[in-house]
Amino acid sequence: MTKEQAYHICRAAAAIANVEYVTVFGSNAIVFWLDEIGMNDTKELLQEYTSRELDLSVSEEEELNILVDATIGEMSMFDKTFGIYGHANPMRNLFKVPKSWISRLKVENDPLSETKIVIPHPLDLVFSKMIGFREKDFVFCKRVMRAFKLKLEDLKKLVNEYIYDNPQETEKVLKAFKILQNKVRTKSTFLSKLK
Amino acid sequence: MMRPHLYFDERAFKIVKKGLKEVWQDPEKQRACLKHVRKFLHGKKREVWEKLLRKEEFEEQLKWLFEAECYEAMPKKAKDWWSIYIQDHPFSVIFAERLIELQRKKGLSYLEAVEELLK
Repeated sequence: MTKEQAYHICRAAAAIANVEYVTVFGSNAIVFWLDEIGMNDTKELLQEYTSRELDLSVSEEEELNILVDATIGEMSMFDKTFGIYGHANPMRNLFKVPKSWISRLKVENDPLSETKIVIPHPLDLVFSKMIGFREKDFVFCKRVMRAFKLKLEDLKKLVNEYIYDNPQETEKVLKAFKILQNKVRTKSTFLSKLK
Repeated sequence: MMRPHLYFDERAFKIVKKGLKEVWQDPEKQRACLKHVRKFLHGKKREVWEKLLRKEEFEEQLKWLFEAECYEAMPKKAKDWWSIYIQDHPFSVIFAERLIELQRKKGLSYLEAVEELLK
């Protein structure tokens, strides 16, 4: 997904829900940071692990997100026409991160509208994918950590903060972190090309 | 209505099962879906989807998909494989208009229409 495609989805979502702010998350949200590493398309970084959908939220109210889902989501005419779509959902359902993510986010203006896009920091995108526990989530984490030179120590701080606030998830989060730690320390041919 | 965390995975699972069955039986739908895949997917993802639509390869992966009652019921290796491909299906080509029709003609809400379509 390119940044232009992501803008298109966010602009459409904001117009449908009649909101000013759209928050993006999930793997394609990294597209808004790619210019920092000289890339413009998530497939340059994630290859076959990139997808045609952008996770976003227009509100914490389910109804507004369903409206967006119906109009520009999976199986919509938007999907059929442009080959991309938005997965709209309240953030509380899908984006689990430490509270401090708010201090690291950035806000970008869509160049063609008044829409403001709230974009979590790569470290928070990594954290939320890490606890997704799927193989493709770990691939995302590993590639983003290497490409953006993110440190395991900084991720560990987020782990500590998160489990302090969510002690019931301690075991799961620590297990995910341990798996990622091992994967990041393992050399990869693909990742070495990004150096 | 609150949609659970796994709503999108489970929905995509149903869409892909239904879409593949229809495409394998109807060369016109197959051509339209192949066109979408060639236009919007690249590299390995495009290759995999072309083969799935033509039922040329991935016998084991298709078995996992069709034997499971829901996405979560698939074994981990099946979920790991399908999680890369399942959300990039081209079935908006055959379902988008049908979904709109269900809402217009039957007066169903969007979520009801999705449920009806994927029955």
